[in-house]
Amino acid sequence: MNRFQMRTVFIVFWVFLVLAVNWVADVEVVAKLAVDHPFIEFVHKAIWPYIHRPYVF
Amino acid sequence: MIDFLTITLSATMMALLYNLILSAAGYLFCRIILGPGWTNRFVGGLSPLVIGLALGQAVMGSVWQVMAVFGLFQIGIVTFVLGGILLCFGIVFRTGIKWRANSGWLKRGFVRVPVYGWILLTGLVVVITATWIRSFGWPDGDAMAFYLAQPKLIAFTGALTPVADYESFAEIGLFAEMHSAVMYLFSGEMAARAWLWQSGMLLVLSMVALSVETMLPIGASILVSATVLTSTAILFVMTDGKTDHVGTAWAIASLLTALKIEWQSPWRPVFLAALLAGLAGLAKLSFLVGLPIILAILTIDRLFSTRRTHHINPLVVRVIAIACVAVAGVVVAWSSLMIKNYIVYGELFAPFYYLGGGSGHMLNQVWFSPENTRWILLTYPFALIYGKYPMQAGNLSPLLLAFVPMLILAWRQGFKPGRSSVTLAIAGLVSVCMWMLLRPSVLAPRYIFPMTLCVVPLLAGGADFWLSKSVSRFAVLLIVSAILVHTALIGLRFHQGWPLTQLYATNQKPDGLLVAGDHLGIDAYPGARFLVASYYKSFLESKVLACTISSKEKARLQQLNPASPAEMWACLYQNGVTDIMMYRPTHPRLLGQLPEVDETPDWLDVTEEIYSPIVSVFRIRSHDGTAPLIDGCDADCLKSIRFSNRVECVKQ
Repeated sequence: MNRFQMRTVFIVFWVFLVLAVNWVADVEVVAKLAVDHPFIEFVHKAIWPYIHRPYVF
Repeated sequence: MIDFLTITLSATMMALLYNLILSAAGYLFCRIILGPGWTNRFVGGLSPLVIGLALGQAVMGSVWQVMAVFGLFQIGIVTFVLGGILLCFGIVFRTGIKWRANSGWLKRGFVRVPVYGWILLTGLVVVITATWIRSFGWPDGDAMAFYLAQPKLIAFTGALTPVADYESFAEIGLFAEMHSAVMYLFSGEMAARAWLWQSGMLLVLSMVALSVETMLPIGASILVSATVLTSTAILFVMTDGKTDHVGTAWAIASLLTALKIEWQSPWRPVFLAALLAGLAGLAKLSFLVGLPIILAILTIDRLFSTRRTHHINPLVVRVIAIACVAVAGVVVAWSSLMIKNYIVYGELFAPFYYLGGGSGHMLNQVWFSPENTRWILLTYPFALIYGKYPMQAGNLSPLLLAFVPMLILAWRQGFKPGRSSVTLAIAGLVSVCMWMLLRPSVLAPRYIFPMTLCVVPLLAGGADFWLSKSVSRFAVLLIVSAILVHTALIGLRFHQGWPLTQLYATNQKPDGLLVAGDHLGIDAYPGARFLVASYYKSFLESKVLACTISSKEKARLQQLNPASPAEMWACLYQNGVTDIMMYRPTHPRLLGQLPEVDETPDWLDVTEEIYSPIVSVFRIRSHDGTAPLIDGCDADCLKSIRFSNRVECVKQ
């Protein structure tokens, strides 16, 4: 795989990652379609706590 | 379904007609401020269209506000003013309008749309349609509490009468809310909602115009639209009845004007940019933190890039002179708010500074604990895109993050963005940093829309360059498909509320709260005062809204401190409060504690009508059917007299 192909794969991966986190974490439509999916669990347990925190006023 | 379409389409046409008149007004104002041939200053023909409508909305919002202060916001007078605008427009442009000397911009633009752009446009149509439908649905919290209730009351009384419980909040600039009031005056809530949705579309168009003026290709404009229309924060406010996006469109129009500042003759664009920015900042006070910074950076950059001298002294002198012109623009923008707050509240500089010794409580907000504020600051910009904090009300688009590596790689592949798009992005980033410093615990994209949107054209330009030059069509297809799925999902998300939307738009009262509100005014004594124990009021009948007891009156009732439950009921009755609505989730305790309905004095009956487990209406009636012996509220009187005489109608 040459340098341009590597960059292209990285961009595609990045776009999907960024959007997928949003789909799983924010868009209820997807959450309802795929409850208990391992990816959803991964996002909620591994990524989500770093972005969103339980709040205290 | 037929009912829904009839109601929503007629409301949309009403709002469109009103926006066309506002455009005519804006075009006249632009001609006065920028001079004849002002449209030729811009690259695309879209910019004059956007600036004209934005200026028309902003200035007429001020005019309506001043009229309301003097009790002149009557249907006859408003119709006369709107007719006058059309007449002036017809006289000034009787020989026809030359929208732009270099015509054919739209046709050329469509020819240059890349294939991926056409695919994305289909997704955007889905989102636009879904938000249009949703914008006629049940409004969300803040809109139901204030942003729709206040215009409804202003339209009913013809004067700037603050909504009960929000008397001090109404000190903010009501520039956008006054347009909702115009729609209430001529039609009703649906027309107001349609106008707010169309203002959201104005924001999308103004962002497209911004990308055109920063010399980005048409593909970038489509990516800019996709970014705006996948930002749930923007979609929420434009569909739920709030007004943050209206001020944002005016702010972007101000940036469009600022991009045309030149060394030779900067005065007119500076004045217009300052006027628009001032009105945008007063329509949404949080914009005042970032907008001046962005405009200052843009102006200085424009002066440097078009200067005819390399000496520092003329530059400094010119910057000082421009600052004076900008201050003049802001003062003109501020004048309407000063008139309103001086006459209604006796405070000339509210809500910024109180001569009577109050504090600017609205401007000094702290939302979270220091620990959580630190966490939020550490997670910027992710917090703006993925955060789910209370009062945040939606996020920015994840496309902002998705475009970052594309921009970096496009740069390495020879992408040469225009100077203005880079300046805009830098100015936007600086202003967001300033917001983080000054209001670290206030996390809500809607508070900083113009600042965050400044980075969008540059990111979209880089993404468009990378997608256009990519060696792999398969990769482009994958990315475009992902964006398309994202837009479709957002469309679906808004479509989820369809049954409720249909019921609400066709006035079928889908919830106990709305039914209770509808029944509150029925069988009330003449002149009855209403005690509404709920933040939400926009669904109340106008007469009930006008006769709801104010927060001051509520405080006075609390001080009476009755000795027994029976005395409590008697006290309420004797003060004219004979009908009470109680919404338990937000007001579980009322006036300390509302007694049981059977703990009444011998001469009174209290009945509780339960409309849902959380909503009740209490009616206090005397056995002999006589009304309380005090002068009550005469809603019809309120409607016909001027604000200054209002106190004669509602005796304390």
